[in-house]
Amino acid sequence: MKLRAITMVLKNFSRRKARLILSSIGLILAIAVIVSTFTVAHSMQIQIGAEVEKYGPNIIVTPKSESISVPYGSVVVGNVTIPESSLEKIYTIPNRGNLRAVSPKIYGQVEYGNSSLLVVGMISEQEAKLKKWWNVGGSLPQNDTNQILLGSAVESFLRSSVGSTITINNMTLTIAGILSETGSVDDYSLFLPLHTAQKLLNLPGALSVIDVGALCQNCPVEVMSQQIMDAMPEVKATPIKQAVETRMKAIEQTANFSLLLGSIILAVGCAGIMNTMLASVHERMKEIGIFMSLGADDFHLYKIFILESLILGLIGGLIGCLVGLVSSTIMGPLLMKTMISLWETPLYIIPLCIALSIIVCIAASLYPAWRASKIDPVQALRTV
Amino acid sequence: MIVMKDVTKIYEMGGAQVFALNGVNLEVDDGDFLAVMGPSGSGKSTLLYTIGALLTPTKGNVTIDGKSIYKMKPRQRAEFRRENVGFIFQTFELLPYLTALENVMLPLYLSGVAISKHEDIAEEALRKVGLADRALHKPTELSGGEQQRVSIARGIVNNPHILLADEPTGNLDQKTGNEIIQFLHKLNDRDGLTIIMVTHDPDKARLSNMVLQMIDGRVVEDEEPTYRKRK
Repeated sequence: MKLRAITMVLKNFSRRKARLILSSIGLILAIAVIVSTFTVAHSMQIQIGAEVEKYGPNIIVTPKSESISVPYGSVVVGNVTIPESSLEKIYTIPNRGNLRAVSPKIYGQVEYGNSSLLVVGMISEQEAKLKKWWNVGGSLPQNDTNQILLGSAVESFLRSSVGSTITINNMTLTIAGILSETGSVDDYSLFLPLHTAQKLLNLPGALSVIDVGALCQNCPVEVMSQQIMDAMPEVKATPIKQAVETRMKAIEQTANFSLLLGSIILAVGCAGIMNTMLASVHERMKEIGIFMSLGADDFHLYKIFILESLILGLIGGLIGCLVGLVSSTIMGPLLMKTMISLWETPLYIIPLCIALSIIVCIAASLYPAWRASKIDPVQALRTV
Repeated sequence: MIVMKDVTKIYEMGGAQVFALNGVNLEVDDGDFLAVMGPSGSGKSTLLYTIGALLTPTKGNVTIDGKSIYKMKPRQRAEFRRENVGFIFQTFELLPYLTALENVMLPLYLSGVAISKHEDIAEEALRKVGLADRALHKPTELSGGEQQRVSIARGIVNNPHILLADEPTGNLDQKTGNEIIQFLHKLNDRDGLTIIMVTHDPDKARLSNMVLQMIDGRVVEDEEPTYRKRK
């Protein structure tokens, strides 16, 4: 049998379980709020990042133009075009490693009967990389062929099916595929291979826009946009991150608010622990007197009180982390409509929160420990 | 040797000054067994705690083996207490959450004795007081006499040369009280331990080789000297 400070602290705890649990509640709650907030926010950021990566371009490259005429979705395309020959310059930018897809396109309008149709010339595989949500019945048009892909609305208008042909501007085009409804301007478009569209629109070697997808969660899209503009002085590269940024900002604000809430609870928990420790000093007055009569000095008393708070912090931190992780899996889908995957939560949050919990507990115990060390041993021994 | 010179301890109580000790002069040789008697509030316990380096006097000087204990820094004084002084209390003052053995180990822990030696040394101390077989019991599982013997074992485990006993038989029946006194005498005779014992019981005081009578913080001088050598 060995007597260590830890033995005394644990034995003392075991006879004061109720007090231990009560004093830990504030701490557990605070750590749980911090952990769950972090987990939910992190999970949402990952999901948004994945969405950004999966869907659509991050940068839209358009010609430098003052006049605006053709709208395409949220992007406006001018009459001026980008020479296709300068496309290669995009691959010279310093951040070229982050380029996921570079989809050059030509837009134009063609007359078909009494209607006008929106024609989009594209390189199928590049466009498909950007628009992973596309669901194509049949196949995408092969490059440099007369194959076309119809948007769902165009298909209903033309009443054509895969394999049939249509003739536009004396050019016979074979329908290779039909796009399922996307809810975007794509439903009203007629997609052709880039060079075929350039021929149809009589704009050889011209591009209206280059959609660029960058390959990471937090790509330096502004930097990349500038790099593209530096490499291609004739274009304007616009980073599309406003929507993402707004959502990220909303998450950040929610996370910050929750962290603030967690900090307040932590401060209250800290005050609670200090209060418990002070009460404990008062309750254990006699015990402190006995220790002093046996030769304990302030160092011994500090050691015992700090060890107690360390254990309290460790237990509170561990339980808080556990409660936080479990509650985030319940609260995430309920409040934030986000599925929480605990596997994606960075593990460093656990030791970080436990360390925070321990530091707070130790800080809360310093004043009570100091008070204990200043107790008059004789008065303490005389307490009942 | 313990020397007290003009030791005064004043407490402020409601604006009034209370002299717990009032100019006490005292010399106790090594190996003496001194009984301190007097009515409640006469300063017996204050005297004991002042000698035990626990209570700083308002005035005067206490030296033990030539060392002025209240000129030491608090940590040095605590160390001095660990090495030289053992305490026994009327209500035993054992820690209720530790076993008898662990209670006896406590001074060893505080003194920084190698942890591997704790058990052997504490068991030996418990054997001396005849409680080796009760080592793993908690204080609540022991009788009053047994608890006081554990308290004695705790008091002597660090081999101090002064043992201060504050009414050690006050909470015990006559028979058990006598056994404890006999045991203290054995420690005094056999180990040469200096013992200062506060007691209300004249019969038990009479067994010691010196008796000190106190009233109102003073060592009382009367016709029959109250501080006298019996040996």
